[in-house]
This record gives sequence, structure tokens and C-alpha cells, in this order.
Amino acid sequence: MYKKLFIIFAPFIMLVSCTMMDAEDAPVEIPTEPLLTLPEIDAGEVAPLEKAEYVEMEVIEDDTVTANEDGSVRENTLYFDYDSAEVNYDPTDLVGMFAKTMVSNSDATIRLEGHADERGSRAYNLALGERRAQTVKDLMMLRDIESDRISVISYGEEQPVATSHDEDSWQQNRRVEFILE
Amino acid sequence: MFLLTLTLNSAHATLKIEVTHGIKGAMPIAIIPFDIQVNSFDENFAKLISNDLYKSGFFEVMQSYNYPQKVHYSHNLKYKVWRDLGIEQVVVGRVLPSIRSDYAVEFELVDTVRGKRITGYKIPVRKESFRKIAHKISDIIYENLTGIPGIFGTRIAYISSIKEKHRKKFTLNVADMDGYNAVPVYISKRELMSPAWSPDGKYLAYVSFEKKHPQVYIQNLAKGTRVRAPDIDNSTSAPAWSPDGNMLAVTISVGNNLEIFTYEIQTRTTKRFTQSLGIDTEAIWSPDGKSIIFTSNRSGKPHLYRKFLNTGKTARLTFKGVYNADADISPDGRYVVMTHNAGQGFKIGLLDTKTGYFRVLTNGMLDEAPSFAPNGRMILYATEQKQGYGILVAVSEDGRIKQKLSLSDGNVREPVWAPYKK
Repeated sequence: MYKKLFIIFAPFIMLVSCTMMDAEDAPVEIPTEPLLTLPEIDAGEVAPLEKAEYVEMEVIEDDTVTANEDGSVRENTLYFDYDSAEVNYDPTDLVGMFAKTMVSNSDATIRLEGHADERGSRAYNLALGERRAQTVKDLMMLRDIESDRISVISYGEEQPVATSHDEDSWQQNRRVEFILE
Repeated sequence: MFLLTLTLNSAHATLKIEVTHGIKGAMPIAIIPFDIQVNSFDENFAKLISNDLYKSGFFEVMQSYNYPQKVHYSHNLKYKVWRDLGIEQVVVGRVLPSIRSDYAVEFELVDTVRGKRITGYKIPVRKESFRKIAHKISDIIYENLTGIPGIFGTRIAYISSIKEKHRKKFTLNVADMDGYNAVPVYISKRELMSPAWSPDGKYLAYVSFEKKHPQVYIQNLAKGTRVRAPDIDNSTSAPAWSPDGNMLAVTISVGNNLEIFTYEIQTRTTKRFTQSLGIDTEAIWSPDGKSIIFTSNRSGKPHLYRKFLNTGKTARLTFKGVYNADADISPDGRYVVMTHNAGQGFKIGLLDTKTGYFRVLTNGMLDEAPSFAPNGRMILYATEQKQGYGILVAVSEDGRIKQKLSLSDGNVREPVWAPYKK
């Protein structure tokens, strides 16, 4: 596209250099054509906030956060490799532990919240978080937990546990959290 | 080259604008301060126009204290004096009383080499629309000298967020393309994502977590009314408008997967568009309406694909690097811009779909969410600053001119450039 622009300029520049000499002593041409008139331009058409629906800010207790401030591994959180939704590492058998709890509490339901690290696009990360939670759901269903007792939700990269821009933080944010309800 | 810094204080936030890179060999131009023939007028047309033209990167704006003449009508210009300084274009103007409006502004763009007025306008101005008129004048000058429609009068939308310990606030904003006149159009204590302008610029589709999971809403900007689209309980995300404004492409969670659907707004009917084992999301409609470009990890890594609506034929578009996602298409349909990673961090990549030529435009580590200006000459994207704050950057499509927009007290992200008004 830049090339295109140059082509537009090129004849103009040539014209400039040709007329430069002639214009040196030529009488000054006084423009006589009238000015064009523009219609009035509207100031804007975006509604002020009062008209838009407005959600009052409030202090919310975040019931989902069970993070350790130092970022150490949490007991309800499974971690994932970069750009992967595969469960490769479950050293404390979280899936088995939560499945057992749900078998012995037949009215318990569970919410699996998938998350991604900040890298890459937000909508793709939302999808990735969902796939991670979905993988965990599939594993729990293999342990005889009914599909309708497991809900899956993704927050993508929107709710990081650690906020530094480094692998330490990213590793902590690629996760699925198990929340019994 | 000088650094241009503008700061705006408004009720909502302070948006700082900074130009960090300029272009060599730009077109020299002088904007002489306008003659004020009305009482109590304290705006500065010449300054705002100068800033616009400078920021476009195509112009080298001469500093006003160096001006050999301070005249306000083209017939008073001594062309040779300006030519000798290498100034080939001069803008003169005046602010006059008006019967029809608060006042009127007249300006003339003059070619000092040919000794000729290139164009000139008289525009009625209401006090509150001063900035809009000044941007309009910048657009006229820019288009006359480059042959390309200007973008100084266009708007952008973006998401901003403030997070404190137990308190969060997410805001969907609409602002002028230079960051001024930011208007919050929706505020939520839960996450907002993925704003998308309707082709007529009257609606924004976006994702809101207000029901605790992601769902797409369409908001009428003039009235403030909103509808869930599609009106289903599934998680929905990544909305994109069809060029005629009648349909959305959205990602819907179905079964255990994410697929792209088309949604007809009037009839409220959804129709499945993609079917793969992997993630399919981030649809964007081609300007001719015939195909949709989207992100899919069906090959293992996220890449861009194009699927045609009539034939159902799908082709992979990107092969460079390990990550290509979140595409936007230039208004002429030729160029695709994306978030790209080839192992050196996330950068903005530009693909010429006609020649297959691919170029990396930026050199950040966390650059993402590119969006084309409606004239296709600039790209707006989000990046992270070292302090951890998200900022927006406008870059020329050759990657040489950069303009940063940052919020003093929070993150800004997911910028989308509005279309020209219809």
C-alpha cells in the first residue's frame, strides 16, 4: 500500500520541480473562485452514559478466588502447558479427589473454571480456557460423574492469579479451578 | 523530529497521546494561526490541524514561530517567501461571525509552487463541535494532498479496566481517534471483551460477563439499549458483523467444543458455520461478504483460515510462525492483519492475500488485537507497557509511524476503529 502512495506522489513531485523555475518571476495568481460551503456537522451521536444501561459499581466478594498471595500451588487448581488443553500433570489426583467427593455427596455439583495466560488474543484465550475446563469435565465423566452436575465456564485471560509478564506468572494462570457448589 | 505530547483531563480519565516515530521525507506544510474575528474565542484551529497532520506521518509541519508571514487570506501570501523555505503547502484561515451558527470558519489550502489555491471551505461551527470541524479540515487537507480519505474525524472503541483488590470496573468506551471525547457507553463490574462496530457505526457488539459467563450483546449507541445476540444461555463470544449489518458471526460453545455460527439479527436464527475438532473462533467477515476469516487450532497451533459462505470451501491462510490469530481485514479486502508469534513474542503481522507476502509490523512482546483504520492506512493495536499497563498504539501500515494512547489510571485494550459514517 505504501508503494501505491508513492506512485500518487511521484507525478506531483515532478510537476513541482518543473514549475518551480517558471513560477519564480511569474505574477502571483489570486484565487478568485468562491469558497465551497460545508453543511453544519453534528457534534456527535453517542448517548451520554445516563441513557446507556449502567451497572452500579459495588464491592464484590470474589467467591472463586482461593489464590495464595505468594502464588504457590492451590489445592483446587490444575495447571496446563502453554497453548494446550491436555491434562499432563495431576500429581495430587485432583480429578480423582473431586470425583470421589461428588460420588459421596450425590447432590453436590461442581463448576470448572478455565483460564489462560495473557499471551495472544483474548477471544482465542477464552476458547482455550473453555477447552481446558471441558477436558477436565470429560475426565470427571470418565469417573462416573453425570454431565449435568458439571458446569464449565471460561474466563480466558481475564482473571489472572499472577500479573507479572513472565513464565512464572503465565504458568500459574494457565489453569482450571474446581469449585464445589 | 520532535515528540508530541497532548494531555486531556476529563471527568473519566486522562488519556495521553504520544507520537514516538515519524517519517523522513514527509511533505512540508505550514498552518498559519487563524485570524479570530469573533469575541471570546479561545480554541486553536491551526494547532489541532497541525497535530493531526503531523500524527499522520505524511507531513512535516513547520513550527509557527518560524513563519515568515502571518497572513489569513491566500491573496496576501507571498508564495516565493514560502517556497524559499521549502514550504510547498500553506493553510490560512479565519474565524468569522455567523448568522446560522455560533461562528464560521474559513480556510484555504494553497500550493506555493503553483501559486494556486488547491481548495477552500467555509464551515458553520457550533461551539461544542470545534474539534470535529478541525478534524474535518485536517481530513480535507490530507485527502487533497495524498489522494487518500482522511481518518481524523473517525472514532474508536476500546475496553478499559481498573482493578483494585476487591473492586473491579470494566468500561466500554467510544472516543475520537485521537483519544479525546471518550464516552463510556457501558460499565460493568464484570469482564467486557471483543467490541465490534456495526458497518453503519451505530451499534457495538461486544462480550459481557454480566450473567457470569461470556455472552454477546448488541448495543444501540444513540439510545443506549441492548439486546443479547443470540438470545441463548450458552457461552457466546467473538462477534463480527456482516458487511450489510444484517448478521453476526459468533463463537458458540456447543457440546464440548467452540464453533462459529452465523446469526441473522432480524429473524434471530443461528446457523452453524464451522465444524472441526479444534477451537474455531474470532471470525471476521470479508468486505465483499463472501467469506469469513477465523482462527482455528485444527492443525495443532492457532492459524488463520478462510471459509467461503456459498461453497463451504476452506483454505488455510497463514503458515509463518507458531501463532496467528485475531484477524482484521483491510477495507479493500486485500490485507489481513493479525496477532503473530514466530517464537520472538507476540507482534502484529500483515499478510497481503494477493501476493502472499507477509510482514511483521511491530517489535513488542505482547502486541495484540489489531484493527484497520477505515482508510486502510493505519492499524490500531494493544500492547503492554513495562509497568504492566495495557496501552493502545496506532501504527501506519508500513510500520513506520507510531502513536500511543494510554490511560493514566488503568488498562486500555481491544481497540477497534469505527467505520466511516454512512
